[in-house]
Amino acid sequence: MQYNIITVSKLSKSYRISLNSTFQALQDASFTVQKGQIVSFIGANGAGKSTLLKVLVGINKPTSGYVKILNHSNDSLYAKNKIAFMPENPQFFSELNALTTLTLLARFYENGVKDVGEILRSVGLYEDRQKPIGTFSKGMKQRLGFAQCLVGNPAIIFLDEPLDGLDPIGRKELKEHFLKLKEQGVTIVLCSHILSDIDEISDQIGIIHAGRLLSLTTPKEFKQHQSLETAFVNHIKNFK
Amino acid sequence: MKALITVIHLTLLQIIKSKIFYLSLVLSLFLAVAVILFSDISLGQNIRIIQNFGLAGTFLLAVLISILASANIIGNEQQRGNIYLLKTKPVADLTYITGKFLGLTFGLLIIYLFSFLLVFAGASIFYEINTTQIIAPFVLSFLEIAILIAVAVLFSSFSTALFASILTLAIFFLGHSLDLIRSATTDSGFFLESVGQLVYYTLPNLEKFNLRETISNLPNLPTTYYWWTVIYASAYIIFCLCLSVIASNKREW
Repeated sequence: MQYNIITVSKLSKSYRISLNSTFQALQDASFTVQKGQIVSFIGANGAGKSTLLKVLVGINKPTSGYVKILNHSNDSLYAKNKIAFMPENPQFFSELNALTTLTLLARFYENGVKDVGEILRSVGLYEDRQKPIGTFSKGMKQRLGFAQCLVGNPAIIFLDEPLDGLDPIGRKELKEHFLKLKEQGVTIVLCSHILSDIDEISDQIGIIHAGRLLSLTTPKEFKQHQSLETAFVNHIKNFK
Repeated sequence: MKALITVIHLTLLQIIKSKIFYLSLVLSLFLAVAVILFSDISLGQNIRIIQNFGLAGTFLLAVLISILASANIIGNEQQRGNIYLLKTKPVADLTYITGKFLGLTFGLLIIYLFSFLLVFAGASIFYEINTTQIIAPFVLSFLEIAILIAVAVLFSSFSTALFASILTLAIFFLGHSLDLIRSATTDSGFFLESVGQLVYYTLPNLEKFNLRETISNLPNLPTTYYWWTVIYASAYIIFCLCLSVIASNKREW
């Protein structure tokens, strides 16, 4: 049965940039996400995509509005047990190795996985599990960033530019991973610049421009027989 | 509890695998050699020099490492962005702050104990060291280091690593000069006197933990002095950690 796993209502976020001026990074965003969907947000640089994800996962607090995860506040421990987040350019404790890092991170969850080796194998890092993360390439860190999302058996995964810095094989593998998780009922919310990838995997596409969520609809409805890129550019132009 | 232990474990691993840890081991070795060599040119005061120089040296090394490690581990964690790893996990702010503090404190205990043992075990090969005389100064010095770690955790929760280190270092120097500050500001006008009083009562009085300089003729302090010092240190640490939790909760990442 489909139900709303994320409820976002009138979400706004502004940052103080000087004593008497603020920057409105997000304005009145309201939407819901159903269980088992892949929802992607696209937008230009600085549009507010990363801010949206950070507010959704509770790293940043909204100026107004609220986010509910499974009917609980998103900064409650209950909600945090159900979600995972991969930031843009994920950073780790560079002195530790991948195996130790994931093993320790899994312990935070009530339902954490016991054998993180399997997760490392699934993202192609098993052979490098004992190397210090400081020696990892950007692509390897990106894959580890995704791997750390899986250690708590989450119901929802939030990903900020997850395909950035990956080679074509890595991107393909990760997309297959997303689809496999979706089959298992995991909800994925992501933002990305790589429109072709988003087009392939998303159930819903959200357009963010200047802090506003302009639309959230299915790829088919959004594109209306155009390429995603053309549809996106036209959408932004029409808004202006 | 599991989350707290995991944060402590993670922090301890970060310390043990860091360059600062290895640097402290090498410096401890140098310190041990220096103390023994230095005592040789001390005209019959060898043991006194070893005790004074050894206690002061190991303490200063531990203070330096505690400030560097706290700022590095907490401050850089926030600046580099790996704070997101923990902030999105089911870890309450109180658990995170307490875990970081305890992890750093255990890590520093290992470093301090190692350098202390290296210096005094090394010296005891050549001289007869009275161990009962050096235990109390060591324990109180460690409490002082724990306070400095809590202060560093507090400053790291709302500022950068560098700024937190500078502020903690300032607290270290001010904390050892509180009596001087109070007497210098007494009868110097309402404003200065009030500032002096404010500083005196809000900053930690670190001189309470300093038995290092009186080691050669350690005063016969009553047992209650030690208990009150432990209670004072614990209260100050809890106060700093509570403020850190509030600051951390309010901070935008």
